[in-house]
Amino acid sequence: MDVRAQTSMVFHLDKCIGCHTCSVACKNIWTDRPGAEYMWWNNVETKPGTGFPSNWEDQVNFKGGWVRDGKGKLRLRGQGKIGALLKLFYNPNQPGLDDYYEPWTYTYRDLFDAPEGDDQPTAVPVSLVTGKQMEIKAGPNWDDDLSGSPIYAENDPNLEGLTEEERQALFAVEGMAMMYVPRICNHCVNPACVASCPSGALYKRGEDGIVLVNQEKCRGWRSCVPACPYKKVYYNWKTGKSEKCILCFPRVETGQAPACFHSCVGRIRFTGVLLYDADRIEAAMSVDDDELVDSQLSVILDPNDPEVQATARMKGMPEEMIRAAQRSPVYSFVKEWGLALPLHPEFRTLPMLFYVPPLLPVVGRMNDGVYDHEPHDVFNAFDEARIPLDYLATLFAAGNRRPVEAALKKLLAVRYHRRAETLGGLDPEKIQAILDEAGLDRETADSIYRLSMISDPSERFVMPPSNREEFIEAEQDVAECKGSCGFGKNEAPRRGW
Amino acid sequence: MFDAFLFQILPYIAAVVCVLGVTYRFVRGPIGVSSLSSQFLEGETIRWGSGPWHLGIIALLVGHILPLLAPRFWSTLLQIPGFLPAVEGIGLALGFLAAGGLFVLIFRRFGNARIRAVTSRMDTLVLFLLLGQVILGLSVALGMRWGAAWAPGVLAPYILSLATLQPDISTLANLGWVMHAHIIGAWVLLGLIPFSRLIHLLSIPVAFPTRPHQKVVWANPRSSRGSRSL
Repeated sequence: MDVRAQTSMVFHLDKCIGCHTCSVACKNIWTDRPGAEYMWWNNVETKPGTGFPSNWEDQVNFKGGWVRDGKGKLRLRGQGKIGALLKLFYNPNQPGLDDYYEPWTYTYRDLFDAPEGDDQPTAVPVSLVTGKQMEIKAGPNWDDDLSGSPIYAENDPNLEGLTEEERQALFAVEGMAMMYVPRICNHCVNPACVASCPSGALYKRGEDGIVLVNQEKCRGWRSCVPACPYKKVYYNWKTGKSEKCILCFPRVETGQAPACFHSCVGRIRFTGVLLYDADRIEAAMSVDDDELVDSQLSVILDPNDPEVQATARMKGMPEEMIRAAQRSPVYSFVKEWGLALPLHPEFRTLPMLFYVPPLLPVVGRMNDGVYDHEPHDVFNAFDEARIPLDYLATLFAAGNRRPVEAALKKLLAVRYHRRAETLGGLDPEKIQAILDEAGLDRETADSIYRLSMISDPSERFVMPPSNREEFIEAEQDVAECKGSCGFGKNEAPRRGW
Repeated sequence: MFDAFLFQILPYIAAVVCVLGVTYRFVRGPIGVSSLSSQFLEGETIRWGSGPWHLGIIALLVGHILPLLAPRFWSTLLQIPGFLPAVEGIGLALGFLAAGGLFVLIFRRFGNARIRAVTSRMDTLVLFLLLGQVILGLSVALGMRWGAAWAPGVLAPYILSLATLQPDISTLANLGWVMHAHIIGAWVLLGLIPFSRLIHLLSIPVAFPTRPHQKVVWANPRSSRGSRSL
C-alpha cells in the first residue's frame, strides 16, 4: 500500500445555477493574457450540449484517455511511444482554434476617434489573434442554455445510448430539460496528459496531487492536448506552451480556497483531501466499464483506518494532511454516502473531481389538463425523469445505472425526510420506508442535509496549508523566497531575433 | 582570400556561435528552446507541409552525415551492385518530398492571416534559406550526377580537415558555384540555430520512449520515502 493525498472536489449539481461566476473568477486571475484568451480552465457547460471545446467527449475524433489492450493492460488511446514521435510534426487529433473559438475584442477607440459624420461610430469586433476585423461565429458558452438546439444539444455524444423516445422527451417543446456541469482539470490519479508528454514537462505533485505543466520543460509538442480526454490542457498559441488549471495552488498552499470555489454563488463546491492507494492505480482502471465506479472508489482509502494512517505516516505524510482527510467533505460525499460520482470514468484516468447528480428538474406532466408532478411511487420518479437516468449514467458512471440510481434515491430520500422534519404532514412510516429503500438512516440523512445545504466555508473547504517554508528553509532564506514564487514566468519565450 | 573566409573561417564562426548560443539559451531561457507550433491556428494545410518536410529533411540529414562520418564504410556499401542508383533515387525522392512540404509551409505561412500574426522576421529568413538550400541540393543531385559516389571523396577530407583544425579546401576547388553555395548555406544555417526556431533541433524528446507513464514530483524529499518512482 502506497498512501498518497489528493486534493479533490465535489460539485453538487442540484445547486449549480449556471451563473459562470467561477469561470469569470478563474479567467480574471489566470487566463487574461495574450495567447490564453480563449482558455477556460474553469467552464460551465449546459447538458445536453456539445460543451467546450465543441464535442470534447467524442474520443473517436480526439482520441483522449486510456483504453485496455488485448491483454487487459492500459495504453493511451491516441498514441504509442513510436506513434507519438511521428505525431510531433502533425497531430491529427489535436483540436484547433475553431474547436474552441477565435478570441476577439472591439475597436472601442473608434468610438472616440471616428471623424464626424451622419452615422453613430461603432466598435466592430477584431480578432485577438490577427488584429483584423472578424465575424464572430462562436464564443465562450456559445451553447449556454441551448438545450434542444439542433446544432449543439442534439449532437451531444452522451445521447447515443438513449432511445428515440427518450430523446424526444428530453427535447420536447415545453418539456425541455437541461443541467449544468462545471468543469475544471480533474487532477487525475492516472493522468493521460502526463503519460503522453514527450518532454516530461507534465507532472503530478506528490504532496497534494495537483497536476501541472512545467513551462521551462514544455517544448510545445502538444501531445497532452488531445491526450486529455476532458480537453483541460490548452495550447497557448503565443508562447507555444501548454497550460492548464493549476487548482490555484498558490492559494491552496496558503490555506485559501481556489478562486472558482471561493466565488461560487450556489456554494456547490466542496474541496478536501482524499487518501488513495497509488499501488493499485493501473489494476483499478483495468476493469470492465460497468465496474469502473466501484473500482475507483476501492482505490480511495479510509482515513480513519489505523493501518492507512500508519502507512501514510511512514511515507512522511504530515499529520495535518491526515487530519484534513478525516474531516474531508469529499470523502463523505464520495465514499461514505456514495452520492458523488466521477465524470466519464470510462476514460480511465481516475479523475478526482466528483459530481452529485442532479435530482432536478422535477418530473411534471399534464394529465387530463391537470399539471401533475407527484409520482405515484416515490422512486418511480427516475423512470419518468425528464433527464433520462441513462443519460446521467453515461456522464457519471460509464453507462452503469446502479450507482446513479443509488445516489438519486438517497438525494430524494433526504428531501422527503427534511420535508417531513420541517413541514410535517407526511406519514412518518412512509418516510422511514423511503429512507430504508435508499439505504439511509435519519442521522446520515441529516448529515447529508447539513453538509449539502447549510455548511459554512470551513466545512466545505478542508485543506491544510502546505507549510512549504519547512522544506524551503533547508536551502533558502524563507523571507527571501516569500512573495517571489507564483505562476510561471512573466517573460515571454524568445525564439528568434 | 574570400574563399578562405567562406570555407575556412566561416565554419568555425558558425560552430562557435552555435555552441555558445545554444548553451546560453539553455542556461538563460530554457522556456524558449522549442519551435512555435502553429497547428493550433491552422490544422488543415499543415498536414501536407510539416510531415513531408520533416520526414524528408531528417532522412536527408542522416543521408548527408553518414557518408561524411564513415566514408570508408560508405565506399564499401557503394560496391554493392545497384546500391548507388537506389540511394540516389531515394535521396532524390526525399529531396522532392522535403521541397514539396516546404513549399506548402511557405504558402501557408504567408497566405494565412493567423499564421502571419505569429511569424517573426527570423522565421521568414530561415524559411527562405532552407528553401534555397533544398533547391541547391536538388540541383546538385540532378546536375552533378551520382553525388553519393563523388561527394564523400571530396567532402569527407574537407570536414576531417576542419575537425582537426587544419582546414584544407583544395578538394573543393573545382566543384562549381552551386555546390559552393550549398556548403556555405549549411554553415550559415548552423550558425543561425541559436537565433531562430531551428533551436528545436535540440528539443528532440530522446528520453520519451523509455519514460514511465506517470511522473510524480515531491517538493519535500521526505515524502517520497518508501515510494516507488511512479
